[in-house]
Amino acid sequence: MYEIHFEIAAAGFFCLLFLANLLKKQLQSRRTAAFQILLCVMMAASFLVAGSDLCMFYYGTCEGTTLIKAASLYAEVLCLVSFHCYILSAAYRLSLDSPLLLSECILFVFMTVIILSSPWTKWCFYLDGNGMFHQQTPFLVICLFLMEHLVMDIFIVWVHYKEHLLQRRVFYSLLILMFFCAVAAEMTQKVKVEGVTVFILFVLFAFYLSLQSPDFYVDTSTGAYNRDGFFEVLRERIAYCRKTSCLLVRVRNYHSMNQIYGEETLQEVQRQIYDILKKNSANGIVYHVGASTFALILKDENLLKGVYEQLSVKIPTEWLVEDEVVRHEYSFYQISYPKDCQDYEELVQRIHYARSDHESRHKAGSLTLLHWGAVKESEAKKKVAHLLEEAVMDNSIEIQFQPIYSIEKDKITSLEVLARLKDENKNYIDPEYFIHVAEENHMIIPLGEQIFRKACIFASRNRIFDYGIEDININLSPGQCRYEKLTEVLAGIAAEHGIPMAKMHLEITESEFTDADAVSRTLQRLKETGAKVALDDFGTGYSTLSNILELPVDFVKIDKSLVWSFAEGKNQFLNDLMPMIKAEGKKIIAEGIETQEHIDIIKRLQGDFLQGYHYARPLPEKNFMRFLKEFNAQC
Amino acid sequence: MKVYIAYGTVSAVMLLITILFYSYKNWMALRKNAIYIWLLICAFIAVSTDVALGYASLQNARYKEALDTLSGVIMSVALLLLYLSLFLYDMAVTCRMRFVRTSLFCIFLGLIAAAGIISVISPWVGLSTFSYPNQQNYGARGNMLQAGVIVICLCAGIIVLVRGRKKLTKRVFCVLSVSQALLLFDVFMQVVLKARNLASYYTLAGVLISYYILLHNMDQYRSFSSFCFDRDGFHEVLLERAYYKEDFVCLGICINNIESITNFCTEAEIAQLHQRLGRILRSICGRHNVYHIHSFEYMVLLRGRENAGKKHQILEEKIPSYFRIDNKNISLLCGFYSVRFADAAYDAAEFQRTIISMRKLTLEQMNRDNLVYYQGENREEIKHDLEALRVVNHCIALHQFHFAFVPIRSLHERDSISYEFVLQEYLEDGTEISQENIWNLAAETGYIREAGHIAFEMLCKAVQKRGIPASGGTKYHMNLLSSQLATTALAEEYIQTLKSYDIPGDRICIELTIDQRADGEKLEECFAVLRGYGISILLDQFGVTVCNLKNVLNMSFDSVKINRHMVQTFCDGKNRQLGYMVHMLNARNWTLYLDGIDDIDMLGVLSDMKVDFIQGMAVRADSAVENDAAGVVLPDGVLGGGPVHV
Repeated sequence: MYEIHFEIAAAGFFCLLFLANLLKKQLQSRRTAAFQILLCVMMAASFLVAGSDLCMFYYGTCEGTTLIKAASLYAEVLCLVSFHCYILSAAYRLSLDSPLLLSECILFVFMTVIILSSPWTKWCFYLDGNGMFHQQTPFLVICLFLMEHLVMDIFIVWVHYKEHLLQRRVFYSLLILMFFCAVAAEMTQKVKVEGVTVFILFVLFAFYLSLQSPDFYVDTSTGAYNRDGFFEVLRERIAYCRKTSCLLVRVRNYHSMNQIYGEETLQEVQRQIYDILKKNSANGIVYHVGASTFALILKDENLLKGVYEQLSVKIPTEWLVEDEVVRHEYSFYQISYPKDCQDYEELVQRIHYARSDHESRHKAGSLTLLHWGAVKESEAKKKVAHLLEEAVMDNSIEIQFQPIYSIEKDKITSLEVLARLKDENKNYIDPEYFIHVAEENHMIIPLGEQIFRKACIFASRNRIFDYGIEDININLSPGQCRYEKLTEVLAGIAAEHGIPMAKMHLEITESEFTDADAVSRTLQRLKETGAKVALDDFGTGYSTLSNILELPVDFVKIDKSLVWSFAEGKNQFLNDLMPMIKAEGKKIIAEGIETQEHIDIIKRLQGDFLQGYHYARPLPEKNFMRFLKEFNAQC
Repeated sequence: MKVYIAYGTVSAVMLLITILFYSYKNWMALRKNAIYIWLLICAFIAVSTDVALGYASLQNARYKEALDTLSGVIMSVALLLLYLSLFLYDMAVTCRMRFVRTSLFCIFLGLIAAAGIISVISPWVGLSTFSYPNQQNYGARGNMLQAGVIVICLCAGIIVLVRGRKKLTKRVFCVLSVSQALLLFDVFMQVVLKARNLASYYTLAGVLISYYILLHNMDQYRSFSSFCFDRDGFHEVLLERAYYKEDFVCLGICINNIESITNFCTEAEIAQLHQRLGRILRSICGRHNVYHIHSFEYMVLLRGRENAGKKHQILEEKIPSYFRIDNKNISLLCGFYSVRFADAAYDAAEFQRTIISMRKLTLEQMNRDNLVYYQGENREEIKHDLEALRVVNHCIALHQFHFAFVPIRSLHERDSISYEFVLQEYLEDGTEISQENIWNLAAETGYIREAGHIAFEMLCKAVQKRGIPASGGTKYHMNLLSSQLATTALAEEYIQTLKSYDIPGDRICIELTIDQRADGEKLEECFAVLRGYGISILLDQFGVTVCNLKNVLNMSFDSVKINRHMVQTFCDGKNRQLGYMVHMLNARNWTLYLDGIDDIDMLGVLSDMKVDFIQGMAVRADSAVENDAAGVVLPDGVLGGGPVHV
């Protein structure tokens, strides 16, 4: 009698848990549904077990008692079956058309018939006149069958749940153990099953609180499902190979509007956007996947296009919130599985692409299809970024050296250090491209340091200053100039290898996105250490004429395309540009010198240094040293 | 065996699990959360003590009385504290915690303390206030006092809830009121009907667990990846601190390279990265203080600016520059900033706006060694930027800008005056927002094209009102960025606007500032469309804009304007570039404009150069006299500022 109250207490809490969970917004996934069913069945089973014990206690053996006992046994079996389904759903293996699941369903029907018909057939059990419970062979077979399933569940948890948290796997295992004990208790009839139910309640409650709460997937600001919910549903849909079309709606100017109007006002706008999306979603589910992005999951593309057409008309661009007019622009993106992507990771990467802050990726009002072509460039960048990351970490960036000829001294007096990176096919990647990727990925600082260090090691190892070299030209990215300690770090590296900074010649390429003050400040500091500075890619890079005047540069490097087009008669700029630079007291290095004609032009226009294939291509260390010794020996 | 022990045991264990998980989940630093944990602890102590000592007294008849007395005392104190906490909880959720500083609350507290003291000392001083016949605790007078206090707590709580219902959602209000009514009924059953309710502990545990599941589960405020609280959690805390005007310092941690991380890491790897970073931050800054407010930003709430500096030093050292995840090195570039709540005058919205600006400032830097403070230059810069952004946004919303016409004089035909249409806006302190800045800010709000159209339409209106001279070479120059002329459709829209105001295209010159993003081919298409209507195109800001010189010089501009900086530094003898530039541009057969002629003597310095038009203060002074009747009244009473007021 005493145990019955434990069972009733557990049933009450199961009931509370079930009802409270019912009141919450549940993610539309099989796992969530399976858990809700498990709670419901557990609650029913607890009440039935307590009911059957109470009947036995008060009424002894009678037809009613036997019926309730059969119902309680059936409910217990249901608990195990729903738990098994939950485990399968968590591993995305609850595929409704799988033959295994079909065979299990047939067996379950058999079990149902055997258990529920027992009050009349006594196939499974019978109660004697004293109210004693007697098992029959089918009962034991059912118990063994259920135990076998629990063992299988353990296997699934530890083999197929590798990506799940350890904590989750431990909880699943504990629950499996509890259910195993419950079945064993029923089989042996030595331990009261009621005691086990209470423990299942405790473990299930702890599990609910730590990992299964539906609140994980709800966004408090709008009441929509959040980003985690979105990815969870996507993962599940793709695991079950269900056709999925995602429509992403991104507020383009969210951050600037947030800066103007503040979070609260924008949250109100977001709530209203969510309502509009919900009303026009064609039964799709709306997710708030980021501060500025909403997503809709739909069944097919046609539906998605219809929703987009509706939304592009119905979402207002102006919102009136507490007398403030908030103006928004929207970008729309479409991605479909399996048409546009092959797996979950690919889909997620495309979604990241849509959510990124790259202005060029977002077009106001239009629907952008995120197929392979649309993200090709970013995929290529991704690969290069990965190679760069590896090169930075493994200190494996390759450097080559191109000689620079001094017209005045008629010999090689400097060299340019050029970084080289190979792709997976061992082909060189365009240096301009990978430097750009490094700048974008903020890898330019460690990369720049590595190149500088390697150049110093090369200079010190080969004692290049003994062979007529006066300057080592190294490229400096504007991104590096934002690093305040750059000068100290570079000077430190040079000192470490015994190279005076006066021998260092840093070439900076300008760009619009450069912090002009930072560049000017850094160049000034570098000059204070004795280093020289050149303005690289002048004329074709993104530079300004006023920089010749404004920046503390000693040299200006004329880009090769300007030299070539001048030689071909396609422009006459050099006639004015070069005297203009010289008039400001800067020395000129001309790139792309490939013919004697190029040399003559630069000499005529009063250039100072020449660099190009006419002298040598960029060479590896040994070849460069051989070339240097031979060339300067001839001069 | 007493059956209530079964319910009590289950309730106690359920409460214990709730306490453990609530603590484990690291409740947010809100008043209601801090009080809720006390509610749980008091309930657990009351229930577990009664169950444990009740069970012991059943097993041991010799010490029954002593055990019952001890149980009664502990339970009484725990229940008093529980219901006091419940009242405080009601005040916390309705934002009425200031009440705890009032004398009324002190009286209330005194009453509870008195009831507690009487409960504790009764068994020892021989006061027969307690008796425990068959666990009928509320039978004695002392217990009536205790029950009275509990009823007052519950009733006061209900009053607080009713009065503060506007601050609660319907659901929260219903759950809180129904559960308190239920507890009141429970007390009534025990005190008035003198019937110990079997489910008494059960009700209490049920109510508190329902609170947790329905109202208090902080999973909705937790980031799934880092296990820190999220943006909404931060917002909640901020609102409460703003309400009670409590100062704190925010230490912001921005991941500068999140774009590259998302580009080349899988979702699982990014989650692992956040998990590790979150763990480091929580271990150093305290579990309750760390918020993951954006995929690339964490926030730590601290007391005192010095504290932020200290934490920054520790974090700078402890956060690795890269994480090794799945055989992949993921580099992490962090930036740090610090903002004090008091600096935003305890205004949550203002504070968040400041945070966004600080984040922007920090992301522009690549230096983890430097903690960016919201003070001095940074503060002024942010204030100015925010104000300018608001001004420009306001102008776009109203479809109206302040503007001025700046005269341009021909050096060949002295009577021919053209005008440049220049937008001019001002901050409250009178600082001018330049045309360039206006376009930049419009671009930031995402309305650069709209701003261009608004300005163009305003030019048309103004030109129409001024009247277009039938003869003469007067032209109106309109400044545009290359992004405002990105497609031929945009060019056609400008033409349509001109047509709607009956302005011939040959009276309009578009001054185009080329930037790095300009697409040469598309611009050429637009030029063709504009030229089709007679509009001429001028390359603006030559000499200072960042562009590909070779490509720009090969584009089909009709004219070019050399920037005032280049002209003025030449006239001051600081550069010698201008002569070469003029020569180079003349070779392109472009009409040449010089900006920045502020002094008529400058013309002497420039006399050798083949220049067609000049612009600047000298021209303004000269033409203002001649054109003093040129002013027009602008619509809606907007006054033009700048050189020639219209």
